[in-house]
Amino acid sequence: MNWHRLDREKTIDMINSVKSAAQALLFSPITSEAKCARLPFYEKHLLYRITNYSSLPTFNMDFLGDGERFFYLDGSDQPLMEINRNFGLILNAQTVIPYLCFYFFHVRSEDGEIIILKNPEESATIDLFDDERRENLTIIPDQTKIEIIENSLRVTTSLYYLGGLCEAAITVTRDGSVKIEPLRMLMRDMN
Amino acid sequence: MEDNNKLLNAFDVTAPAISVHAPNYTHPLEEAMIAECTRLLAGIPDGKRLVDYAQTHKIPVKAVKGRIPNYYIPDDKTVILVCPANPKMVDRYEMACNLGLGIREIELYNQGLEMPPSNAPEHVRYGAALDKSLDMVVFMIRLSTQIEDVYKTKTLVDLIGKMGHDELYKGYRLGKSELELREILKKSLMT
Repeated sequence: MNWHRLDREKTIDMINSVKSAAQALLFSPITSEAKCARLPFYEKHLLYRITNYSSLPTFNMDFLGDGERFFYLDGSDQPLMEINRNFGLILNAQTVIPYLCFYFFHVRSEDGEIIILKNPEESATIDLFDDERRENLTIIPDQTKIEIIENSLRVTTSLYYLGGLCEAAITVTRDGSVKIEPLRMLMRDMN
Repeated sequence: MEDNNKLLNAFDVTAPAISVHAPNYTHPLEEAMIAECTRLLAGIPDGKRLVDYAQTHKIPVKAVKGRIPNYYIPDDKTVILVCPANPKMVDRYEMACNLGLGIREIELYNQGLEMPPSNAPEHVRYGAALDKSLDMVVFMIRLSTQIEDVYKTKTLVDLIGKMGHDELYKGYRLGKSELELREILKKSLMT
């Protein structure tokens, strides 16, 4: 992720924008820093991260925002869907993998952790993956197929899914909804 | 006259701003979740002591939505549980353990633990973080083994394995001293 650190004034502005009356103590402008990163699939919205350094380990909260209004990434797909619906999603062969990587990192699934792998061999080191790898949007899978089917994109690739390695077809609709169809399990119970 | 001033002060533009667009962070099941975590925690020996400690010291506990189950101490006084909004994705024993760790951390602050300021040199912050981690990880193993024994669940022990603390868990089960456990943890952090 290519982060850009916000200066003090902008950090305070951002914290004031996301501070709610009920949970004001979540944020402290004195001990927090904010940074942002461009996302290839959104035109106006960036990923923002506030890190509070007063706690050890440090504590992060992520948002999607246009600089004025911020949507808290709370683990559900609701903030992404709201932005996709109201502000648009740039979805094409170049942006679909970054979008999926972002989606799988920020949206918690009942199926557990989901990660797009560069290749099946990478699954052997999954226990060593840190958050930096998990949220890396620039992964280019060695073998992947991207097809346009009706109004959706269908990506066939290697995936860490349901605690194992599988080949899966992932359908992304124009509004950003994601559906996974495992084609074949390559390895089970890796963790 | 004094009342009027108070009213005016409430609208003072220099007061910390709270945005009308601020996201809602509060967990939809906050009350029920905190009650269940407290009940589970009170059912194990160390947990019972912590629940009593929290009640005696009137430690506020709140719950917010978040991507992964966690806890956060923003001000040395308040425990904030972080938890996905969908209850199907949350293990109640893990959240009970998080509550216990949050209370334990505040207990450490009350006992005089001081964390270096955010502008302290990195090696000072790292040293403090390591010392605190040692205490907290060993304590997490204590809570996890008690939860395993009382509630007959392997959830937390599996989680400890995923976090790479198998050896520490075995050492605790073998009755090794706190000092020996710290050495095991130090070794695991260095490899």
